[in-house]
Amino acid sequence: MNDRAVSVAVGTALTLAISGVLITGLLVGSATLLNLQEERAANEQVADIGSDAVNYLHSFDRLNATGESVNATAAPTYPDRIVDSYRYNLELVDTSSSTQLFVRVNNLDVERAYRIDLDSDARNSTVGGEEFEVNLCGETEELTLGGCDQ
Amino acid sequence: MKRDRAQLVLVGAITVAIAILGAVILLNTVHSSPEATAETDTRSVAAAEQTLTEIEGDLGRIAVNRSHEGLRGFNFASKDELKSNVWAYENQSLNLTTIDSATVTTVEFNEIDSTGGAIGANESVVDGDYTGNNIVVEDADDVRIFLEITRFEDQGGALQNIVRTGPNTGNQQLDVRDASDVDVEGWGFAGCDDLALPIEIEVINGQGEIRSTDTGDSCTGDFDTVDNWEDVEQISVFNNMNIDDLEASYEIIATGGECGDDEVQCFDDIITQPAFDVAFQNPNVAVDSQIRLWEDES
Repeated sequence: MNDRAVSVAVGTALTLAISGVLITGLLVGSATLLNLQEERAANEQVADIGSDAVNYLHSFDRLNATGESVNATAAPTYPDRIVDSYRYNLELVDTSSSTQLFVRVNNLDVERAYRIDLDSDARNSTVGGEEFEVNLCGETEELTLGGCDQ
Repeated sequence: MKRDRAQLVLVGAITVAIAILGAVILLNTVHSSPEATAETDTRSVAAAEQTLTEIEGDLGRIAVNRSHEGLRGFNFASKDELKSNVWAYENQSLNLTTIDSATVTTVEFNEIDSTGGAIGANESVVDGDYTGNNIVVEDADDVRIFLEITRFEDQGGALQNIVRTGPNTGNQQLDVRDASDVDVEGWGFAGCDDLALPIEIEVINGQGEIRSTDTGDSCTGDFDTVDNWEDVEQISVFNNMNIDDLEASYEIIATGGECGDDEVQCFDDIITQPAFDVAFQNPNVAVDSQIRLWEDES
């Protein structure tokens, strides 16, 4: 009878241990899955925002050819944060051979680069997602992000 | 004991349920993060682009001078006519296009940034004894000339001269001798023989073409490669012979110039390159631009 009493305690301990292992595994698995899901969702949103920003740059580039000293500003309503958690920024980089737009998410290994063919000049500029705007600065006939005064 | 075990199983089950519930909530948080509202905004830029292109086309049509019959060789605008036409355009056409949309578009004639000048013309020089040097325009920054000779017979000598007086080069003249032997003295033309009448001679800032209106045959050349007709002091139409059976007309438009003192048909105070300030605004995009017309022709 004493042995049975011990076996009950062992059984209870085993039950708790197995439950703990299962729950821990579930949480660890969920965390990994959550990270993957976050990156996937972030990639989708970054792709949406990036391709839309490229559309703006192309539109403003064409708009620049419609007149002289064309000033244009567009402030699209993008989310302040990617997947509601991470800040992001957009960077316009002009080199001698091409112009590129980068969309980067802070604290998450997500970045997208877009190569853009523009007739207008582009000014190197960086802007956070929450204050994003595209500008065509008539005085210098340059495309930039975040305002002509930058 | 069985009761205690049942309680333990229940506690375990609740713990597992809470863990699964938590994971589901977290995953749903990722899925329910806001989407980028991009499509509508990009359409706004496309609308701005389309509107500005349409406005540029409309301004090109309404700006062309309508009040001076016979002056058809070059585009130019009458200042007063332009002001009233643009005002009417903004009040009627643009107001119609912005009904039922959150868009504001304005167009204003910008007189300060526009370029003025003078246009001189003689619709028909016929059978006369023209002597003297008639100054058409003076002090021009650049000059465009259109000369059409529709009929003449014979004569030898200079039939119609257009004389340019430059600050450094003195007088240079376009000298058309006869229909079968079009010759431009000293201005570098060649190969212009045997052009059938009527012939047209078009010169824009020293670059020009002589062509037959009917056959389209032409010869081109550089009238003056030295200074490309910049800063022309005077353009004169000089007729120095008795001319029989000649019909010709000329049109000279000068940017930045003014009419000469001689009594030839000439209009001062015209606009050769009008400028307009255009603004377009909707909730997503603000554009302001300056549109200038006819710049490529100078």
